[in-house]
Amino acid sequence: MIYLDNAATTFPKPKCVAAEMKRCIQKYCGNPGRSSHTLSLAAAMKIYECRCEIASMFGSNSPENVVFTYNTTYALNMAIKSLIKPGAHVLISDLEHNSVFRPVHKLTKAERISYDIFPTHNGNKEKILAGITSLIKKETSMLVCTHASNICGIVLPIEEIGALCRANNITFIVDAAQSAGLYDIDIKKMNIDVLCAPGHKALYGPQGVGFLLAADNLRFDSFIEGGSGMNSLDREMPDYLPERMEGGTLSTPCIAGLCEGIKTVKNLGPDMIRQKEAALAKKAAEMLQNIKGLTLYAPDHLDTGTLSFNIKEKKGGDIASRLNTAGICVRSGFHCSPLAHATLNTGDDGAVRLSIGWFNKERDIEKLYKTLKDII
Amino acid sequence: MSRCIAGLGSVTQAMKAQTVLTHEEVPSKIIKLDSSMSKRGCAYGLEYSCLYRKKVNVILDSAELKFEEFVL
Repeated sequence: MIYLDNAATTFPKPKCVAAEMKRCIQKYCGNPGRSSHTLSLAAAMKIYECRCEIASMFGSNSPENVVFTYNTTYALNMAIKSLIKPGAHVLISDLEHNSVFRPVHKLTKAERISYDIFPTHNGNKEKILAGITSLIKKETSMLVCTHASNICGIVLPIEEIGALCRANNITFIVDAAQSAGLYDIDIKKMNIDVLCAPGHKALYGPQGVGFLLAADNLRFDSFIEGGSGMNSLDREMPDYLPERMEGGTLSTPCIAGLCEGIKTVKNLGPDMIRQKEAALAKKAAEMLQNIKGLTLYAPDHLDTGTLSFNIKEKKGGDIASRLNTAGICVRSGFHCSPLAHATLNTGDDGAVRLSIGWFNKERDIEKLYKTLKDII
Repeated sequence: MSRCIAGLGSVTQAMKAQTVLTHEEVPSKIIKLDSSMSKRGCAYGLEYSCLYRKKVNVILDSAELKFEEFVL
């Protein structure tokens, strides 16, 4: 089988990820932060180790500012809804995933906020910054945007957007679902207030864990209330992170696996991973463009290893289905990103997306090309 | 022999404090505080030798970790 759906979730995972999850379940899976017995503390220690790995990877000295969630969607909802002020004006980009678009839309529908969408101009930095500047109002207090698109390789200039946000006292939330593990991200240098990321994509952890990493001194409203392992006699959640935002038992096995995934990525280096994926994406783009009737979207942006296409008079779902029959996993449709598909003008059927991961090889791309040619 | 304890709140804070103390070669042990030291319910702290009392205060203060000291 050839797996080319790494933007949805990376597969396979490094062997050490599964090994550590198994070790956790068999050896130290107590309830973290609830007791002082050996297994509870061992679980808490592994979770703290993972917080430290995440903080150091993304330029923070504060492991306690790492809040574990189920996934990026949960982290983004938490960040947006826990930091938003009534009457706020929010800016989002035209490449956003529904994990940003839907919570912002819901808050707007409830008449709690208003929002505008800034254009990304095929990744043109100057035009993006000018577009944002033109939309900033005195009520604008939050900007939420993706770092890298989930349907093509367009990457937004988050360092420059962060500087713009800081200059205008705007809270800056970044969706790093497609970039964490592929790009060096430094939340201090880039003026990011909240970075939201999945464990199961380019950090090569298991599904079921994501996180947000907050800048120091941000004040979150609690998002979910319940047991936190501390101040149990209080009626409200603790005052400080991460326990303020982490109601209920964390998934220690998933976090243990993520910890090993992050170490693997750190050892390889995000640059090396990205360069390999970009090289394969370039090869794929060159080959695909030889196919008659094929339209490749944002063909100049291949760095993230994600590219989408359509073939004239062919349904994307049919192409994906026939590739699957041939043992090749890709994803068709709208990829939970209707805004981005509208921006790229992919049409009524969305597009077929192939997304490359660290474990892919050149022969995978060659097989894809050959199979696609056979299909049409 | 008296016991010295820094009450820190969450297990995350206790682990951060322990990391800082270990870095400064001060041995410590994470404990769950009893009700006499945690009026708001469950909380964690670090137990260490009272020989290190002054040093621990300086280290935790400089790391901006809020704590309450107990000498039992």
